[in-house]
Amino acid sequence: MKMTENEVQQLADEALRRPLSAAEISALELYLSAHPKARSDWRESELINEGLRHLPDLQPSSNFTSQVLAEVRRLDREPVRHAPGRWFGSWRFSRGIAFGLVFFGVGTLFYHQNRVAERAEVAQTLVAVSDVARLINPAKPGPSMARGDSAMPNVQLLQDFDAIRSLRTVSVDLDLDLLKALQ
Amino acid sequence: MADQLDPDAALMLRVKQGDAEAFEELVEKYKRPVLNLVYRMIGDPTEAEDLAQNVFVQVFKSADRYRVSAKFSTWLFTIARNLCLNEIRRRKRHPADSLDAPSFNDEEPRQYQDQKTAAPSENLAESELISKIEEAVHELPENQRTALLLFRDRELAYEDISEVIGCSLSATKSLIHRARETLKARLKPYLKKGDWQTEKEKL
Repeated sequence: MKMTENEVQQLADEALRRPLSAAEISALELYLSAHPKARSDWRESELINEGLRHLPDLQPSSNFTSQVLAEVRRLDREPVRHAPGRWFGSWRFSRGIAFGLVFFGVGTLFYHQNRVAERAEVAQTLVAVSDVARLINPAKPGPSMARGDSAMPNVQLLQDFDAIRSLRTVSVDLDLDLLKALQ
Repeated sequence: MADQLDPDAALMLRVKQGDAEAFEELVEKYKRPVLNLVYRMIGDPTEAEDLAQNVFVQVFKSADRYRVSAKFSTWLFTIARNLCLNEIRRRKRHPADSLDAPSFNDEEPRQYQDQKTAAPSENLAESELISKIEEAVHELPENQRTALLLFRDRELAYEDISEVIGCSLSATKSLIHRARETLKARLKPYLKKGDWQTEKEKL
């Protein structure tokens, strides 16, 4: 049987892990006789294979198996718990939840304070509008007044309440002085 | 069905059911090839022992995921290779950790044993050439080295090696061939010296 160069190379690889059969050896000899230059290459392959086969193996320690079994038994006894990655994941999740709650709390507090401030401002503006109403129509102090010295503004005046509120940067006292002077 | 099973797969099925004896049997059978694969991948005998033990612990922990369709040894060596690659990556990230690791040149002879042949190989095993070939193997690219070592140890067929390495059958054959060719090229000066004799020549 004639061998090709490729087959000889494959045989050289195979020779690393098994002895060649008689048929393979004779086919190889036939090839090497026909290709004398390939003989040195084959010889180098043989030497490499020989060296690889004789690489010294590391011996497992005498307690190798017992240590593995001890570790496995220890794992068996351990209560089931989250793997470190999962624990870390859940810790991160909890941290996120905590931050969320803090932001929500702070936000709610700011919103509440803002509402209180807004109400106080509305009340202040209402008082100012009442004062204006009292100046315009001083003869009608009603029993339903919240404060003895203030008159409830009439509905027409309250229609402009939002506009008056938006002018809160202008001093109400100045307006009142002006109204008094005009009267 | 159990009768048709690969004996290791049958043992692994018992391990899945919590059979410690079956697990011990597998450890005993494979501790040596696993240890040597790990050792030649990471190059440190002490760490190799720890890592090889860890391979078996991982096998036990992953027993539930083992499917009989996979040959046990293929699965085992895939776990071993993955753990080694993780260790190599870890060392790259923390180079200081491996400073104390002895190189292949600092081998302690008492830790090694060549059981493949008897007395005639002893001289060969102690020779400078063996340490040269050991160094040359260590310098091979990781996939070539793993393929060559698995092939050398006769544990796995080409198909199984290709599964462990994660490449095609032809690519695996090519890896093994290239690994041997690289070794030949690197060791040519020593091979030419003629001080490396095959056993046939000695006899």
